[in-house]
Amino acid sequence: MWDALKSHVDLLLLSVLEEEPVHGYGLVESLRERSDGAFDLAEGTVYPSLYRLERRGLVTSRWEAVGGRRRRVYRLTSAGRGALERQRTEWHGFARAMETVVR
Amino acid sequence: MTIDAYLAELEQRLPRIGRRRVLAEAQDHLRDSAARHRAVGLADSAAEAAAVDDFGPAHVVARRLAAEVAVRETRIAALVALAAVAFFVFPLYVVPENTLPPAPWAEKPRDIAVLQQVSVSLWLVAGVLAAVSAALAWTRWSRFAAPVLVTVSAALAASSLAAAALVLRWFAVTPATPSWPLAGVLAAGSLLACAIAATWAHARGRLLVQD
Repeated sequence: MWDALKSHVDLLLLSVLEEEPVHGYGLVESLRERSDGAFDLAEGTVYPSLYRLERRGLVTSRWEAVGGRRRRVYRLTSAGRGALERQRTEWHGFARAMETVVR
Repeated sequence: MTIDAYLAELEQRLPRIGRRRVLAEAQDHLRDSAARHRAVGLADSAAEAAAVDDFGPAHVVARRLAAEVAVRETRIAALVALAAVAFFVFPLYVVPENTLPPAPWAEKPRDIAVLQQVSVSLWLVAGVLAAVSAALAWTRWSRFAAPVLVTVSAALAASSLAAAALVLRWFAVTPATPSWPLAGVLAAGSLLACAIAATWAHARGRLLVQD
């Protein structure tokens, strides 16, 4: 599943972060729940992707107190929202095209 | 494997830059994950082992993180090289121009003029390439920044050689030129900084390709 997901990880992470700011584990949990367990990633590999998104200015992060603990919380930037919209549009176009071919 | 043992292995494999943040986040993540496994009935040791399994092999996680850090380091190397090439203006122009005695000739000897043009031209080429390398480092083609930086170092070295030949020729005509040692030290410093930046970026290039 990971190989199939790799090229879409950015879209998945940005989509989860669109809902609300969240820390790394919360993000993985959210992905797992929203995909009914289908997207069960090697969890540690999510962090390099998050760091890459942060480097590109699509997400930002800072240490915050969450549930009485200090956690690194990620949130979408305005550039991230723009990138999410573009990637979402591309994905829907791709999915529609696939659907017409693979019935 | 326990969480502590996993974190110790991850720490060994991670690049130094950003290591503390990664380990702190990994620790938080693993503790949460173990708690989830305990909540569904696993014993402590089994819950920790399951959390570690879910996180993925330490060498895989560390390699992907190292690739991410390599992007940042390549950018820093490109900026260092750009600064070193810019600094080269001091040994090449500013120091000689401000410390040399008046030229002893009415018309500059042709070989000296040619050496000056060659040295300056090579320096300008190094500058343009350093700017290209810095621009590449900020794009998805960042892995090409390192080879360009190697070319920058070669161009700067060639410029230095041409400048050294110029110094020898100049010295033959006007021996009383005490600024040359200073210019030589500054040029060597620029060249060394540029070469170190290129070597550093080249070493990171392998990680960028793997990413």
